[in-house]
Amino acid sequence: MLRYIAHRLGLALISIAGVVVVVFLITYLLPGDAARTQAGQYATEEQIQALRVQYGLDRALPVQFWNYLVGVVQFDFGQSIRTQGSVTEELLDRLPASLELSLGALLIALVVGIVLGALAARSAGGVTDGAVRGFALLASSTATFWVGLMAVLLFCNILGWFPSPVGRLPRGYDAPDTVTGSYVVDALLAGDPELAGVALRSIALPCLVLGLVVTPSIIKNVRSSTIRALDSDFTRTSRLFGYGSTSILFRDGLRNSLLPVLTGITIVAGYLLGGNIIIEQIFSWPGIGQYAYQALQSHDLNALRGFALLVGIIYVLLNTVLDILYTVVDPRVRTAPAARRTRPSARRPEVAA
Amino acid sequence: MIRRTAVRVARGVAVATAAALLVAGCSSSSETSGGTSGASTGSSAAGSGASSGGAAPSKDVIIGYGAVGVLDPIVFKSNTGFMITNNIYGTLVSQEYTEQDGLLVGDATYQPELAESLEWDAAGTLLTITLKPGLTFQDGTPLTAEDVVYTLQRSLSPESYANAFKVYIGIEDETTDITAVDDTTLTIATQFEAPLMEKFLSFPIFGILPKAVGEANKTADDPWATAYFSKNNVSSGPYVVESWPGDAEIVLAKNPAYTASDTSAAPETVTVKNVSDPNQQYLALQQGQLDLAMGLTPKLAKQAESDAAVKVTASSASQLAYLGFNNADPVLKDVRVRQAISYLVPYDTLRTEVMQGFANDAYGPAPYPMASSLDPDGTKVAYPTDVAKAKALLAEAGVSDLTLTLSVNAADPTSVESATFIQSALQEGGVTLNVEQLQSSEYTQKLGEKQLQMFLGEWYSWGQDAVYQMFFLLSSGSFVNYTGFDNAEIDSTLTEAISEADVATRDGLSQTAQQIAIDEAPMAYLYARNYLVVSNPNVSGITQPDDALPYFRYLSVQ
Repeated sequence: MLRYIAHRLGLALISIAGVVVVVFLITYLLPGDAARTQAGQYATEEQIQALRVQYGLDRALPVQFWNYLVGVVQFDFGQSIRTQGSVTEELLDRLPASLELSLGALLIALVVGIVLGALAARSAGGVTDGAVRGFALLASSTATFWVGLMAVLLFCNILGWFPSPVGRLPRGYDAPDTVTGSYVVDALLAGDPELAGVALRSIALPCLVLGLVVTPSIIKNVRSSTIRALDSDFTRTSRLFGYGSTSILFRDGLRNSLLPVLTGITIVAGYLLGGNIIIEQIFSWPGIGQYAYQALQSHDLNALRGFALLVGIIYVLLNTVLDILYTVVDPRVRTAPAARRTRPSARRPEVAA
Repeated sequence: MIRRTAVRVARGVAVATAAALLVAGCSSSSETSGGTSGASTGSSAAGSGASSGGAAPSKDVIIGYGAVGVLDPIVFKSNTGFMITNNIYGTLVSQEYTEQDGLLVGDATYQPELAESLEWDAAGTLLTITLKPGLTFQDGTPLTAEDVVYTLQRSLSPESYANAFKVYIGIEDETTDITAVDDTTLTIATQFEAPLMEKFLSFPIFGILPKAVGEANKTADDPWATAYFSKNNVSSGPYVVESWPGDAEIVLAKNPAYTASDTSAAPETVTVKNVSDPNQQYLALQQGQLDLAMGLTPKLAKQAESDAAVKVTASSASQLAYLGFNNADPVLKDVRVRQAISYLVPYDTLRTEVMQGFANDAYGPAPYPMASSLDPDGTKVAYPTDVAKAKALLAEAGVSDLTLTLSVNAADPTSVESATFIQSALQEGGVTLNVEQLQSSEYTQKLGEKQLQMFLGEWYSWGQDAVYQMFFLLSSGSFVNYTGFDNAEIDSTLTEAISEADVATRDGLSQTAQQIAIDEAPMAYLYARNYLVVSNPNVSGITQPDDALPYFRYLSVQ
């Protein structure tokens, strides 16, 4: 077991090294001149050149790469050319807001995805299945930006169910003292349930929109895994034993389909953290997604690299933890071929004779 | 054991969440009623931990705009940042305003602010500035002439965006031409009578910073402490930074140490929130979450005009939108081709469809209402849309089957839309126009390196001075002369006008230069964009200063 964990951690390190190299090269090859963009239209050529020198943009590619590597090893992503602040500090300041949003969205996506996926599997080919698949198709093909905007218009401005998105709290409320970084939790810890409620209402709509956007992949995953499980020998055995359809759905279908679904959830979790740029921008949510959007707008290379690296590292670590978890849940994974590690077969539950 | 604990935690979180939701449901009506001004008590940097509990009327204003970036006035990175520096650093003089249809419009007169008096010597080349007595920075340290000298030298240094201003105010060497006489007196020696001096001294880029703080935080690589002033503020103006928790928002509070002008009626706090999406700004305005929105698109502003929940304030301004021609291009270097394209541009369509009426005709490089503009009322047209004339000019130039490329910034929807209309209009004149949408940074790079054949640009001069504007846009040595226009006559006329103190003579030179710029058509002058602010109806005191960003001390929310 320990050997396997060491092996997985080694692979994670190699993956992170790959992320580090790819992120640098992609951002380096982006069209445009970061110094000129940042300097703006009032800057002279001399001032633009001074910026290039200040941020090392005038150096040769190997020198820039080496300086970048030295910084990354020290978890120092350099200085933002837009804000003049430390990218690492700015990302860490914003990370709690993104984590709160992403975890809330993941929770919604899991509940909705598993319930709808199971319902669709139960009536495969039927009306419910068609409706769920239709919903999944609609949710995955509709532009996130449009969904977000319409949601704000309907739920904030017309129905008034949620406060207008101008950050993590509406007008008239101050942030709670920071403990966890989650306003909802911190407000509860501070003994201020009203503030917690307001914070929850502020985050609810972006969570819903973000959650629903990523739900289709979970629905498809749960549906196909559950259908496979319901078609298996052990499910037929359960039917012969006379178990009810609901019991079979949960005991044989869902329970045996959740393990492969874990893989999908990891992908979704990674997407939620790195792919919520549009949602954060729409809802003026001060997380790392909004930071990345502004960095992209202003060609802030260090900030862009920091964001991509942070998300990449978290993603690799998530996958590593998941792989290790697999071995705890299903020891066969440790000795299985690579192809089976990512999609373990459904386990037959013990059936009392 | 672990499992039991996890279950307990999960149950606890579930119960707490349910309780919070219940409370949220109970209080839902209090902050989403919309239209009322909420009570922001001004968050502390650390977070007070106490909520103010909803919507009591107050003198707190919330503005939706973008991210601040940095606070140093000499290297600001965004309009939002520049707007903040306007309000936290006091200037020697400030513009006076005249009310026009509920808007305070800046006029051509300047009143002393931190200065008590400004006096030129008989030759008009030595300005003596006396400061008001008893001035202090927000931390209580006295504001002296040494601070003013330090600031002016800093603002005119090579590190500053205002370094280019020296030529307009006749300062040859800021390190020797600006000197402190005593604690409250300083002198500025100029090479000529500088008619723009007072106007320039009102720019926020000359807002006064404390010398001692700058000296204490400078380094060998950063002699003007830009790293420190980018993130920290010691205010000399009407507001101080109360909290700045990153990009999300910045909260300003009235500066109790500021005595240079009466701010008793000014808002107690002003919060500028990073709501950069125009659609979100508008929706938040409707809900009363914002009092003012800066940066709404013309289409949203048009929509807002028929919305009782918001107020649209629009006023003529001289923000020039132009179609730039690369004057070094083999085809476009022929003035007849440039004139022909100018005759093909659908000016009326751009003003009505793209700008939704929030724009005036732009008669040349110094459009109405800029002082000394050749167009006294915003109605003159230099190149009316005339396909026949355009075709005749192209034939005269010996050009046929012309294909050109217009590059636009893909992130600017107004430019993208304008390009579509221009492309269609040029087609009518037999000119094929390829529209190339470039990502912001690539567009900026190619524009700066003069690699674009045609482009859509905008220019707004803080000083609203025609000579200053043309010197930037059209003089051959200017770093923002993106068209590469090189005309000896306009260069000499502008150079002469810069040092001309007599207003009538200067205006004459200005108009001569304007006419050259119209005849030579280095660019097609599309329209002059209105100054546009959308606010809640109960907001008054919105200013339209020369630098086109509001001064908070005049605002009030009824």
